[in-house]
Amino acid sequence: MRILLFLLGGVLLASCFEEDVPVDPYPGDVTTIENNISEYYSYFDFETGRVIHTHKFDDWDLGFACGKNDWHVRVNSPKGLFIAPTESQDILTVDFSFPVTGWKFDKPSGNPDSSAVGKWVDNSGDLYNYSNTVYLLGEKTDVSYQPLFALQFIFVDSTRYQFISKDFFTSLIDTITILKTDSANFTFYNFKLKSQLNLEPEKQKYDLIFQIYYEMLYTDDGIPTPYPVRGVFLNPNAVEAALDTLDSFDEIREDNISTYQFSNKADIIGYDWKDVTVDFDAGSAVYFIVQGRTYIIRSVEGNYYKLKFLSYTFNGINGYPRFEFKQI
Amino acid sequence: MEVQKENSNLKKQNLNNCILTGFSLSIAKFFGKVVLLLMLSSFARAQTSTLSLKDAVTGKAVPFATVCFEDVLSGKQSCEISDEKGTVTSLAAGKYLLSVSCLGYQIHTDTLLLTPNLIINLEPSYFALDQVVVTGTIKPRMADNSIYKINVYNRNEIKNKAAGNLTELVSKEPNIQISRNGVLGSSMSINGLSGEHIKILINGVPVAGRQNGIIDLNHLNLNNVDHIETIEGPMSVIYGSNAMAGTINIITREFLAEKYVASVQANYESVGIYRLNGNAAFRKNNHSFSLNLARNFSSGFGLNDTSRYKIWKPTLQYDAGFNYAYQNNKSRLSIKTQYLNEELHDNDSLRSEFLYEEALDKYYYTHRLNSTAEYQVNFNKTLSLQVTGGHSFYQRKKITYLNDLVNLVKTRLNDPDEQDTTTIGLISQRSIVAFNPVKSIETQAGYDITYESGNGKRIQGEQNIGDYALFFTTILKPFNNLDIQPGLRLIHNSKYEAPVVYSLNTKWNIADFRFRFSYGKGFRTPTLKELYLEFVDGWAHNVFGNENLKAETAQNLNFNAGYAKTFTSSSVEFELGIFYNKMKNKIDFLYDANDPTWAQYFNIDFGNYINKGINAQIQYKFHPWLTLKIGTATLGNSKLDNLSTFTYSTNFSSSVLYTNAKYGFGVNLFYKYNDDYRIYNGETNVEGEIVEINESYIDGYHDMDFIINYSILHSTLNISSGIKNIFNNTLIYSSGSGAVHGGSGNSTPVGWGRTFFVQLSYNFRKY
Repeated sequence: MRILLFLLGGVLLASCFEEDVPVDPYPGDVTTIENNISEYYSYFDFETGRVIHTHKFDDWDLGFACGKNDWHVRVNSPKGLFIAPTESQDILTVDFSFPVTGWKFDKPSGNPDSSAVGKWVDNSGDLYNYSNTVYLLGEKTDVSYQPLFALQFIFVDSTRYQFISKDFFTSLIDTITILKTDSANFTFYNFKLKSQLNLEPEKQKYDLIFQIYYEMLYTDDGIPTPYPVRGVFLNPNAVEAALDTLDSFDEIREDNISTYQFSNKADIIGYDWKDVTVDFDAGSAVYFIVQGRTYIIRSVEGNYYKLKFLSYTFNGINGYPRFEFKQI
Repeated sequence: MEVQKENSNLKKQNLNNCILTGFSLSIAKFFGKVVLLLMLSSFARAQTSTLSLKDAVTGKAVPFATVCFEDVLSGKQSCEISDEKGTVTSLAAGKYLLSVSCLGYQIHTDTLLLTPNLIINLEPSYFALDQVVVTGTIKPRMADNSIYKINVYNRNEIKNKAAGNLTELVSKEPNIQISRNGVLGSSMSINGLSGEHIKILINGVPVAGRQNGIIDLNHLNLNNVDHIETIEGPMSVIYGSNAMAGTINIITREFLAEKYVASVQANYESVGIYRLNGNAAFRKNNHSFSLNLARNFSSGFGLNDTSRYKIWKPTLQYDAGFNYAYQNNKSRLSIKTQYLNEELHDNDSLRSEFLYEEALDKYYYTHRLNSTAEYQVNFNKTLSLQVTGGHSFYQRKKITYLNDLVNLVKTRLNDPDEQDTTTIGLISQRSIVAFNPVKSIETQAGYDITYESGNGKRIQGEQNIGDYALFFTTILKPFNNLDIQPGLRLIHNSKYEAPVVYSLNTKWNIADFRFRFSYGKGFRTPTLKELYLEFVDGWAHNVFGNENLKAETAQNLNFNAGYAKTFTSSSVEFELGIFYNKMKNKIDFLYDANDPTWAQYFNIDFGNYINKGINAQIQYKFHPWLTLKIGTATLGNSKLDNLSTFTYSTNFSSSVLYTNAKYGFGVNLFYKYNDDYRIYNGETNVEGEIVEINESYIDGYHDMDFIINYSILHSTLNISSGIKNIFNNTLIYSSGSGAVHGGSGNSTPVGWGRTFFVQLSYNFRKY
């Protein structure tokens, strides 16, 4: 019996962690966005198959649409900036002290009417009518907002914008002119640098932007919650996309294209090609790709591509989309 | 004379089982020895004699009992094991202090003159009232004599349940709920209050190292445990913070009776659990030394056998301990240290986002070192001193590897957020003076110093907290059958304005009935995590501790009534318990209603959180064959949205133990129904006021183990085998979470499925 025990002891001592067996590498071509989209805008071009330009997500505060008839103003909410309209139309006397509610961010659809600033000018007729609404630009800190500037957009035409800013802390007034540029969809302004920045590459040279943006999500209880998500926007300049959840990536061919309903909605690809499981106890957030989604994209050059996401993780770190694409 | 009374009690009390452990033997011997010294002044040596042990009820021989003798004058000790006919021979006749112990019988202690053919009738043990306990008192005493309601799990219970760790030992108790997490381990809630409200002690010294407020019960191996004492209700007067819902005191083994002890135990479970442990001890005069080693390996369990991911993680533990004990007539010294080294692999599954070619594997390396030094001296019959020093060290390293499964190359992930080391150290020192000036008064007074420090990424660097307390209790005995014990604790805490903690315990014995009533105030300081947690996942998730947290306080009412009756060959025991617990400033994890990505710990300060319950247990024993036990516990917890309304759950447990002493085997069946229960999470506004309540629900489930024990070779070899988790529980349905991205599925792990096990234990003793 003692011998039996010794034998059993030997077996028990030999028990140990299981060794891995090698696996085969992924069979397709994998493209990786090499700058984390939590921190960078990456402008991707299908024709060259690479990212042609990047910039930091927080380089800008306000964005201005550059089309001749455009008046659309964007706010960089992922940087923590939000817009709240006031009832005042006089920026000189605007009162920062009243409790402000209704802080807004740009809806990701790209529709000018759905922006945080909204429609501040009526350009439907020959004469432009300005609402002269004074907006507050605030920064989200924890769960409250700190006003930074009062803003009043006072002019737009085919070449430029003008707006007035009033510093919350110093009450200094400044009038700023933004010049539209033909080569980009948007031009940007940075309050800290007090300068206009042309961050976007030529609008004819890219198709997709990998970036962080704000979206309204809903809790399990249906509570709307502004939430920073990481996803993909279309180049607003003639790029369109459709989603196919029926056919697999390999099955999609040229014949399919006519069956798709393409959309130029900026966030048609968006963020929900992935999902996440959060474990607060373990302090981890594990992202996974929603299977069965193939996006068909008509590029700025008019070519069609199919794209499927493979991963949101590179070298084990989240924020690096990896995907496979092929021209149809 | 007080000692004589204790000795008298020792004889009178019924015993549930009487495997005489080193500890309880030493206590029994101590009492008996004092009696002997009072009664005898000389001894006579005569010829060789034979001692026969018989069952007092059936008259049958009692084999394999441990019989210890102590020569009155010389103090020379020796022990023998009775043979198959229940006899011990070749004894030099004389006057001895005698102590006889055997499984299923009361400890028999006596001082007698050995005659050539002496017969000793052993009384069967029926009730779990006779265990010697030390929690909350300087003077060891029978559980039934304690003013606290103390449950004892001894080595016999560990054997009957084939339990490898504390989780397995207590999981079938009706008022204990076990929560399991693959990485954080297992934790328990007692009477509805969870891990951070339970004080866990090893030899009276608090254990450090709570992850998420809990101490992993799987880290508390039983290979070196003599017995475990649990007390429900607050013990904050004696043990300070955390002792709100209950106190668990793990008493490790001492081998003061045997000259040599060697034991080895091997255990295999079909789910892939391999346990091997051994003990070795020897005694030289009044000094005893023991060493224990254990290796426990679990290969993990997942629903899909081929997946790398396991719900229950592969874990390898090494456990080693060393004990030294010295004992003489007046004093006792023990130095004990126990070290645990655990490696846990949280392997990732092959997932599409890693293109099925990489995996993020998290390895956790845990070190636990618990050391105690205790010195106790009895100056005279009325004055005793106990000085205890303790150190508890805990460190857990989390290392995340990016595992290239194509090339089988593992590299440490270059992301500081995925690497973490948490270190917690705790130093404690307490001294207690027990003073019994007259028979009707037993007083204990002492001080308690605890200093805990910790650092880690998620607790914002180095943090520490000190707790310095004076405490006082006294047992007043206005009548022989009535004990009244008021208690008081004055605390200075380095971070909190700690409340004055007080308690009142009473015990009243009437014939076969005994009643206990207690009122106690408890408190709990927030954990370092609750104070300093910082978990920021980019912009998406922000979870924080709260430095402004106030300490939780609670007031607890506890009533327990017991009835025990012995018949010719059977016994009945009935217990009824009722408790009511009102907690102020309960600490909870709350989401911001406007931004569920933001969560923080808050005090619930809009009312008192209440939990209350009733439990009942009945046990029937038919000597020596059968023990039947049925228990139930109903628990009511306040709903957060309306604290005056409650959600209830009722657990049910039962066990059947059949013992055949003649053939040395036993058949045991343990069953529990864990009722479904609900947990409430709140959401707050920016002022921390709860504006939304979310309900989590966990489904009920049945749990059953079937175990057979078989002893051979004069009980030196014990074989256990059976089936655990007969109902094959793995995941059970659960729901609820109000947070964005908060849910991690709709199931909760409760077990690794049905397993078959076999366990071999070989014990060698020489007295």
